[in-house]
Amino acid sequence: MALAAADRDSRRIASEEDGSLVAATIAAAAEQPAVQARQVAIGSLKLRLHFLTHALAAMFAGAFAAAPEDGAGGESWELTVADGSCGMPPPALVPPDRDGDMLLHADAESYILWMGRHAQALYAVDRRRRRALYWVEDAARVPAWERSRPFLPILQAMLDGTPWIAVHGAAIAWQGRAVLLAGPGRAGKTSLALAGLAAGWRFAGDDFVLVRTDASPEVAALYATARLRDDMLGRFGALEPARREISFDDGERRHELAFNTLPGPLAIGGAPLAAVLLLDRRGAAKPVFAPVTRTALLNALAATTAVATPGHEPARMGKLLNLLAAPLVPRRFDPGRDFAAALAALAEAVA
Amino acid sequence: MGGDLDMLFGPAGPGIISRDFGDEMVVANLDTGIFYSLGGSASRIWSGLNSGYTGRQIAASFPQDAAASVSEFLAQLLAEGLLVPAEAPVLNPRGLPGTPTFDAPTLERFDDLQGLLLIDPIHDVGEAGWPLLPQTAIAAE
Repeated sequence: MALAAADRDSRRIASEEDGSLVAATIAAAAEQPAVQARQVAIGSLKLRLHFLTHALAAMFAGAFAAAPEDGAGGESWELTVADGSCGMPPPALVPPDRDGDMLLHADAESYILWMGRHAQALYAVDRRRRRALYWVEDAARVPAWERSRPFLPILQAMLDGTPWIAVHGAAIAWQGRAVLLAGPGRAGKTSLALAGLAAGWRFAGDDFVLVRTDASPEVAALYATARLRDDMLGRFGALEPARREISFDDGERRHELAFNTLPGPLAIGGAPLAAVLLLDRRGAAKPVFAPVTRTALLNALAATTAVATPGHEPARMGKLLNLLAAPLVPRRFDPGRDFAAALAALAEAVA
Repeated sequence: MGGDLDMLFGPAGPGIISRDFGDEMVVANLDTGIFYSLGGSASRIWSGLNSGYTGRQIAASFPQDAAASVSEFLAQLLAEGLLVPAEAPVLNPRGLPGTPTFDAPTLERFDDLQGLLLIDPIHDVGEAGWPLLPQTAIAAE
């Protein structure tokens, strides 16, 4: 999604040559020795992560929700995770102006995203060879949101050829039927999803979740993490052991939670999708459902999704429109003031 | 001032996508990050315009005089940059889609994505190519 073309005076290569340079850049990184590897499930895909440093593995490997099931089919992808301390030179795709805005190039062969101002990180995907590279100059500068939901633009690009999409929203499931909760930041997605997790619901995510958008809509967990505002921590004492670190986003203190290492019965995973709701707190005392337009729901689902994972907007928007065409009646949901009552209402909504 | 009922129009570019859900037409302008919910007879008017019919033909398809409403709605679509004049009609062989009852057309606008993009713009390098360090560009040639 381009509001303006980049205006740089450095030398460029023509876009038709980008594919080969992307492939060569990713292949060069993949030849570096990995210190740790991990296989994770990304919707219908199997992704093998190759970490080039122990620090990167410690930072990212535990964020993912699921390993592929034994014997699972699906495309296999490789992702090399590297930083400036790996001993390899900076990838050739790192632009001259490292502090600049986000730069994007996406076509049928390759996907390149440079996050200049935020993390100085490169996300590159070679679609034909199903290989990708995440490179960050300084691992100490990786922002908290990247540690909580690693490599999201790369994963979205991998999913482009599938009915799955990573969507900004929360999802929880009760008795095998899931609800997808859309809404802007501070709408209450995390609180409600964690309340569900603490109450025995299956948790598919509080920020970005995988959604299958064909005739059999379902949600799947992508990450086993959550980010809780300081003022909410006291409401989720049961999740205290999942607390890993404290972060600051725009001056706001957050507790970073990771569920993979928790003992006990917490359930992380997905389920067939039974309801799609726009979370909209309007001060109701008790849970209230109300009609909502599909466009309002699309707006809530698409805004942060498109910004966090830019590129290929027509196709990705088409997936979201397919989701809205599924036999699910979108509704607005004000959860009221009590989590237990809200969860009871959601249980009825997905039944 | 209303839109010209005798002109042909089409979508303003590949960034304009729409989907008809029966009770609601969703239109997205991917170039601006604005979404539109079309209600009432707006869906039929949008579909008709994008199927090669003039506003006057669409207005005449309703059982009552709808020319002023269609013209006003057409002006809204043009003001939002969703339509541009088209030269040749591409008529839908199945005729004007939708049901021929008239309800006042509505257009609701959602611009959350536009707001986020303005805060944190993403520059699509597109045809310009990916910017490289000089030595990399030379090596690639």
